[in-house]
Amino acid sequence: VENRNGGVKLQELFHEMVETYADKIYHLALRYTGDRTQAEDLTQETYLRAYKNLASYDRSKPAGPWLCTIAANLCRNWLRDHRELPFDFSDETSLPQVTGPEELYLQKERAENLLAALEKLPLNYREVLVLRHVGELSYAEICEVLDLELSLVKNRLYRGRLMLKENLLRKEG
Amino acid sequence: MDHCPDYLTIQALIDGEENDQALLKHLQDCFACRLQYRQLSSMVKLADGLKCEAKLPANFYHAMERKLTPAPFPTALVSLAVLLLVLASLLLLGPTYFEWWLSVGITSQVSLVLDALLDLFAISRLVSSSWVISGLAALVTMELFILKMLKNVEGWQNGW
Repeated sequence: VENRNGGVKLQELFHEMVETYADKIYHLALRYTGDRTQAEDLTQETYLRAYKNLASYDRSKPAGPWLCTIAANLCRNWLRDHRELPFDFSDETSLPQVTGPEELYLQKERAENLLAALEKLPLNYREVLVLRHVGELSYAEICEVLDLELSLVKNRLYRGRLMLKENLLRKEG
Repeated sequence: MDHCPDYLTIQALIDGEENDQALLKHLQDCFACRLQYRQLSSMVKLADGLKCEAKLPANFYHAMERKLTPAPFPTALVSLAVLLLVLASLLLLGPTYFEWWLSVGITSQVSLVLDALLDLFAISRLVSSSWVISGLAALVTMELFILKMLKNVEGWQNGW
């Protein structure tokens, strides 16, 4: 009976993890890979791995960084094997509300340029930016996910943001 | 604060990772640091554009749940197969089956099978019904096989 109840609790916990973090993990994977189908597969794989290792998850900590760690590792492995695949820049970035069609066009173009600028970043800068701005992780959580020193995370974040801006300016001429 | 903070400290302030009051006071008074704060803020705002609005398919959880749930064991199908096996064996062994059963005196050996069945019943309280039915099917098959073999041997010796 204890096992069964434990099983039900784990199931509930897992369901909650999906409800709360699935979209965020999907966004992370989308920014890593630039491909919707791959991002969806990687999100699913993240949760399958999480489910298998649910017993080892420390419930006193939030699940977000733990899931991000799994997702980041999977995405990194995926990138290592699929470097040649093109990045899809035309996905749904969070665009502010605009009124006219011209404004909308310009905004979409800028969003695409921003993704192109991100894609040009070396992976170690790109992932810090993605974890911070897409995964909304704190410095400490990024350190935990990437197993890096705090000073290195701060530096990469700064350098990454700077390079992103420079890449975008270069792209926009 | 007697000296200007470095750019990483200002960045941490923008990111909400730093809230030193002395640092805030310094920013109010120092033009160079305010300028750096503005430049860094524009970089952070730019990177915030990486946020994403894309949604996972609505059936994502159910699709994953299906992957996580093992395929249900076809209990009804196996039960039906056992029943058919028993009926078929009765037909195949013919009407003299029970006479033969009594004449060759193997009833005591069948008790072994009954013992096994009882053990199986005891185990069934610990494991799932699927396993019990599988075990039962295996036992029935084994029993029929043994009976068939014994009948052949005994039948040959008795001139059947």
